[in-house]
Amino acid sequence: MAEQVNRFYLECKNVTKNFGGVCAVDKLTFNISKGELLGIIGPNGSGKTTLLNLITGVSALSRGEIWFKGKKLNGLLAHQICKLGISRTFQDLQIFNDLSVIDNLMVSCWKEHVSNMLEIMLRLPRARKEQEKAYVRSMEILRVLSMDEKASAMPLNLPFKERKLVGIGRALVSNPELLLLDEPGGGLSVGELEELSEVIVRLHDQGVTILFIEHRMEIVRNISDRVIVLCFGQKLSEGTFDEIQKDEKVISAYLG
Amino acid sequence: MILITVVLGVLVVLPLWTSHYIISTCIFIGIYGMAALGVSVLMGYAGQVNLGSNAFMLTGAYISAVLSVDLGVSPWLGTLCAAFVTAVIAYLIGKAILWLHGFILAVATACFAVVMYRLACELEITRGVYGLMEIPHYSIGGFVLDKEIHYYYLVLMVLLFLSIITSNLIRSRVGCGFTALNLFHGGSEVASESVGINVAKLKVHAFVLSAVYGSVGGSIYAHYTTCLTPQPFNLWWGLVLIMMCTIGGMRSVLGPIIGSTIYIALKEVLRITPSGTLAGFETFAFGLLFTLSLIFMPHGIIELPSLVGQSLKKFYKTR
Repeated sequence: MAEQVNRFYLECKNVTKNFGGVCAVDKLTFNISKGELLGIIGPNGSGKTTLLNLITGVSALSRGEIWFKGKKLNGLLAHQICKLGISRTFQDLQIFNDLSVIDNLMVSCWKEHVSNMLEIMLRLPRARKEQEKAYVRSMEILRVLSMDEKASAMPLNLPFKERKLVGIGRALVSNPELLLLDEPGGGLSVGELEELSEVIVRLHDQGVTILFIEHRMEIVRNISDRVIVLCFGQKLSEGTFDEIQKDEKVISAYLG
Repeated sequence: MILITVVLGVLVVLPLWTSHYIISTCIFIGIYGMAALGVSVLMGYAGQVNLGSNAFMLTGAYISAVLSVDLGVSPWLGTLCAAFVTAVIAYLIGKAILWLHGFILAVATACFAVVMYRLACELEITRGVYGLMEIPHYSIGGFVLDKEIHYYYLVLMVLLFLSIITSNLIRSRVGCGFTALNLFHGGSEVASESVGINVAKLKVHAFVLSAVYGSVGGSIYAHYTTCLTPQPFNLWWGLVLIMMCTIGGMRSVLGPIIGSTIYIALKEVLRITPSGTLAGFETFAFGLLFTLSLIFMPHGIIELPSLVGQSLKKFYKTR
C-alpha cells in the first residue's frame, strides 16, 4: 500500500459520492503523477465538479479513499487540505468581491502565517513582516499573470478573463503542489482562451501539477498530457486526447 | 488624517470648557461606542448576525461589579477578569452556534442575550432586579477616579486604543479574512476554506473579540455609574447597538462611534425638550432614523462625504 501511495501524487480509489438517491461520483479510481497535466472532461452532470469538491474537502466522501503524497485526505477539512498543498479555482469564480485584487491574493497566503491575533492588532514585528511577505508574494504572482497593474482594482470592475486570472492567482499564491482548475476556459473568447492556455502551460512548466476540468475541447487537446472522460459519475475512458477521441464510448456519450 | 487629529484635539480640550452634563453624555457615548465597535467587527466585517451584544456588556459589567463589591477585587483587575470570563463564554457560545447562518443565528444570539438577562434578574449574586449598589470607582494608587472628567479621559483613551487596534486588525489578513467569509459582502465560506482559512475558528475569533469590547464597555459603565441593574442591558440594547453601527457605518471604525453619538445625543435632546414632552420618543425617533439610513445611506453616515462629493461632481458636470 505504502509503495503504491508514494508512486502517485494524488490517488483516488473507488471514490463515491451520493446525494440522497443520486450517485454523482461512482467508484471512480484514478491517479496523477507529479508534474502531470491531467484534463477531465464529460457532459454536464457527470460529476466533474463534485470530484474536485471531494478532493479539496468541500464535500465529504460517501465511500472510497483519496491520498495525496502518502497522506489520506478522507475526513480532512478544506483548509487542512489547502495546507497540504492543494489549491483550486471555482467554476463560478467565488472571488471575494469586496476585497481588491491584491487583497484577494494576500488573504490566500493564510497558510504561511503564524502570527496571532494580538500580534496583528498591535502590529508587532512578526505580523508586519508576514504582511509584507504576503504582499511581495502576491505581487510576484500578479506579475506572472500580467495583472500587476490591476493590483488595487476591485474584482467586479474587471473583465471576466481577468477575474478568472484573479481566481488562478489566488490559488497560486499559496504555492500549491497540486492545482485544480474548474472550467478555466468557461465564458472566454477564443483569443482569451489561448492566452489562458499559455498561462496554464507556463505554470505547468514551472513544476506545478495540474488537474483541470474543461468543456472546451481546444484547450484540452492543446495542453493536457492525459485525459479522463466521466459520464454519470463513472470513468468512461482514459488516455491521451487522441486516444479518447477515437474511443467509441466517448464519441457516443460526449463528443458526438 | 488632519480631520481626525483636529477632532481628537477638540475632544482632549472639550472638558475644560464644557459642563458636567456634556461630559457625562460623552462618557456614555464612548461606552456604547466600545460595544458598538465590537458589533461592527462581528457583524460589519465578519458578517455574523448577533442580536445579543448587550449580553456581553451585561456580563462584563456584572462580573467586574460583583468581584469588586463582594470580594474587594480592584476594579482594574475586575475589568480584566470580566473581559477574560466574557471571552471564555463567547468562545463556548461561538463554538456552539456559529455554524448557523442568517435568521437562525440571529435567533440563537437573541436567546443567549435573553438567558443572560434573566440570569442577571434572578440570581442572588447579582441582587436580582434591585441590582448592585456602591460599586467602587477605579483608582490609581490612592487617587480615586470619581469625577466625570476622570472617566471622560479614561473612556477617551480606551476608545482610542480599541479604535487603533481594530483599525490594525481590519487592514491585516484577519480583516481581509473577515471580509472573505462575509456572505453579505461578496464573501464565500467555501472559497475562504479553500484558500486555507479556518472559517469556524475565524468566526469564533470575531465573536470573542466583539464580546471583549462589549465587556470592557460594560465594566467601565458599572464603575462609572456605581450602581447596576439589568435594565440597561435588555434585548432592546442589543438592537440599539446594531442600529448605532448601521446608522454610523457598519464597515468602518468611526461609524459605530458616530452612531453611538447620534443615539445618545438624540436621546438627550428629546429628554431636555421643554416640559419633557418628547422624552421617551427616542425609540420612535431612532427607529425612524434607522429606516431612513437604510434607505438613503445603507453604508451609514460615514459615506456621506463621498455621496456629497459624487453629487457635487454630477451637478458641475451637468452645468
